[in-house]
Amino acid sequence: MLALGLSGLELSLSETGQAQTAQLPSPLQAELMGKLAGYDRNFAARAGDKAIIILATMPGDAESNRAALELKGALSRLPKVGSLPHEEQVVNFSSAGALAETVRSRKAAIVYFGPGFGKQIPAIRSAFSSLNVLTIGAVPDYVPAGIVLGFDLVSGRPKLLVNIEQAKKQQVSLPASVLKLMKVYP
Amino acid sequence: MRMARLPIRWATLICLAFCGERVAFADDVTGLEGMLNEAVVSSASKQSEGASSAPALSMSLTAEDLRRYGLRTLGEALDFLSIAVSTSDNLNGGEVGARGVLITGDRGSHFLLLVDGNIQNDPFRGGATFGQGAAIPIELIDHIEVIVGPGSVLYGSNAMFGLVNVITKRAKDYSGGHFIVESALPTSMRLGGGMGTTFSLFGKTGEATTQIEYYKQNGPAFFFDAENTGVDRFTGQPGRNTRDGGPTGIWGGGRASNSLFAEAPSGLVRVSLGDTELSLQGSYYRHSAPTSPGNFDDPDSGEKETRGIVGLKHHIAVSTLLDLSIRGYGSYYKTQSDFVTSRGVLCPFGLITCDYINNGSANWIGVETQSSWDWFRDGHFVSILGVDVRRRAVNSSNDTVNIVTGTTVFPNAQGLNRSDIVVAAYAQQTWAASSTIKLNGGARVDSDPRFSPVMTPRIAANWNPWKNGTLKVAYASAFRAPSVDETDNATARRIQADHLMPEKVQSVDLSLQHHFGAHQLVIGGFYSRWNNLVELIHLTDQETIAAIRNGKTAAPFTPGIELTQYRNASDFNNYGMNMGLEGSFSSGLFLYGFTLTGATVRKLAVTGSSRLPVAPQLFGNARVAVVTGDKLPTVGLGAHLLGPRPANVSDGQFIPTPYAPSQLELRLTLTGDAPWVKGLSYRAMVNYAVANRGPYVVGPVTSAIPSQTTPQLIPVDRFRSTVGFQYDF
Repeated sequence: MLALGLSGLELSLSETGQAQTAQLPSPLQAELMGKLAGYDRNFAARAGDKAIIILATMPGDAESNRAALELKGALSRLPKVGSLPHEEQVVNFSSAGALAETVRSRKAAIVYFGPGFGKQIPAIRSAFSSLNVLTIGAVPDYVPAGIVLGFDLVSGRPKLLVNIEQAKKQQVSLPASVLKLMKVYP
Repeated sequence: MRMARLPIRWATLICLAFCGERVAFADDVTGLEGMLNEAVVSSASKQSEGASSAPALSMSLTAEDLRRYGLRTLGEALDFLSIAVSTSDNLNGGEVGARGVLITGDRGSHFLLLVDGNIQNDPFRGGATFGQGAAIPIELIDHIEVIVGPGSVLYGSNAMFGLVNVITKRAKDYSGGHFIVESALPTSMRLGGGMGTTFSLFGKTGEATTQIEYYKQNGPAFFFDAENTGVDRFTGQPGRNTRDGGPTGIWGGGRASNSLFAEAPSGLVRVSLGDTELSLQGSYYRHSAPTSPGNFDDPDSGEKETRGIVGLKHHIAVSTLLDLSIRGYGSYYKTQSDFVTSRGVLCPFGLITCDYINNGSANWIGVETQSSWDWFRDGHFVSILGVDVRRRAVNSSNDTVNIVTGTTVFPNAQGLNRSDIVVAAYAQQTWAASSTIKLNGGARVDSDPRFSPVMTPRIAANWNPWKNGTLKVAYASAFRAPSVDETDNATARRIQADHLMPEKVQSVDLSLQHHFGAHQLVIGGFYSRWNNLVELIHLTDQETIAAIRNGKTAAPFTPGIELTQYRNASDFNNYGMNMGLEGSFSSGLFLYGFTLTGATVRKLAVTGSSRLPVAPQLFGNARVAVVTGDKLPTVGLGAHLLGPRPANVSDGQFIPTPYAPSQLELRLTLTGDAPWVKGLSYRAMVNYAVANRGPYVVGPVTSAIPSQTTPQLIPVDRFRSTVGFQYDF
């Protein structure tokens, strides 16, 4: 009975996500992003000559803005992302549809979501399902909710998360040897 | 049939290791594996960063390693996993040291121990426990950050060896309920229950994790050789070393079956809601060891410690420029120690048995505010400013009673009843000067009404001269404010100290870290200068007589009376090297790691220099594991090596100086999921220690006397098996 009660409590309450989830430091996120992009078999075709990376920020959320700016700074110190030169663009989030349109028009290869997007992820998943783009989240909860790749910090070590269904929809293709290192959400 | 298949399955696994390695190189994921093996720490500079970027030798001990190598306490985790840190088993909670320095009798006060950022060192003596008395449930630990080297720049007193920050699991990693039972057969039992859950309140997300547990240990019943204490200087007859025994002069000569025990109920709760986090800890620790110079195997000698710790912190992301955090905290500690003795020289009140009772209690309550300024909004030039204000109160009393009648046998020393306020301010600047150079500088000033303000600076630089390589150089300092117990207290046998000064250490470190594939190498050297170390000094006969004449003790003068006093007694230099290598093969199927530290410590004195007692000059660890992730158990084999160590009584009391032999401790652990019950997992360990003696002189003979010229060293529990089960629901 206690077990049932506890699991019921968790199911009913965990929809709101985690509080104060620890994040990877920006330089490490940038390095992982640069490395992972190279494993995506469609990345080079998607990006063309230069990888456009959109760093989405939630207006009015200082933590979200800081995460985007810090990552921008960290990426600027990386010569290549997935073997390609790259350019970072910070974009204020207004709606999932508008962001998807921005991704389309700017031919972005990667969209990064820092903290503050918890409630928007289902809408982002829907809007991005038909796009050819790699979405990456700084918050682990984003991945089961619909972001393709995510970072987590477990036991003081970085962990990679992947939503395999969303990856297929967004034409992100990773080799099995990389998936083996990730926590895979079906 | 099943047994017959096992060798085939293991052979298949070994083959897979090498096959897998080829596949890994073909797909070039080893670089990614290396990045995923990089520890992330936040304690060294109060910013989240890769361990190789931190301004000090930093490492992170993972929950997985704690489990797969059969580690049950913080001390064991440090011994089997950490670089440059080692503990010493005194059968009474253990002692801890780093880089070849160990201050025996310091109660762990030269390490700063934190749990989720909350200080665990007690407010009475500054002591920290790394054994079972630490009251930190091992299953609730997410990882342990170990920062080696002076670390007062952001944390203040006690971080002389470094700091250990235990980070507990988030609810996502400890969800549901958990029941734990573990026994080191047949001497100890640990029962625990925990849970983790998430919730929503007032429109904010929250989570809670908790575990309570009860630990009890009885034995093992070690055999102690007889020690002949000779003729008692007070009675003129052979000494009495038990309550009911006659004046035989003999201590030991049998098994101590009543006086090696521990009992430790404890609980830890962490609740967070939005950007606010509350931590609560409580524990009681009753423990004793059959090693004291009092009566042999007396169950009433020992100590009872009660702790309560609370921390409440709130974080505000004001803007992209400014981050604020405020932390309120409190700590309560109470101790009672009993020392039971019948020998006339220690209990000079006729043929009775004395119980020397020392009581102490202390608490502090404080507020720390910290601001973080990201001047260019990209994390490359960040300032941290902080202020910490703490009110501290200390009480103590002592009594010496006839243990049979409970009556006081002589007037007590005046106890403590004082309170004061300590204030500290700190600043740190980090600057990623280029893509390959990172600088870190800072300083902290601590103001304590007992001393002049103490400043502890640190400056560090990291340089990446080649890909995946980091060269670090750092100068750091730290101090330890002697506890109020050391500066102001007096007991029946200890007179008050005269003008104790803070202990200080300054250190220069140089290290190189390199990642290659899924492997990491660190190699470094250090030089440290330690000053004003506080020691409990035995007074000379002349000093003792003067102390009694001047009213510094209420103890009456009796032949052979021994008094002590805390003094800034020693300085020493410490230098050495350490190295570590760890990594994995076949995408984590095979794990390995080893560390080795060689250090020299010379304690300086007027008469020359000598080695530091108990401290090993050579120590390290090694480990290998096979992680199948299948129905086969994970197999972990850990080893902990300690070189020969001079005993704690090694200042000319015995000729030749007693040494504990080199020690090699091996631990084989099997872990896995039980196949017959969903949610049930097991852990089974076998521990074997090669040497049978440790570096502590036990019993009443602590210097050569005509009736006993050789010392007796503490016994070691050489073989122990442990079995544990965890049920997750």
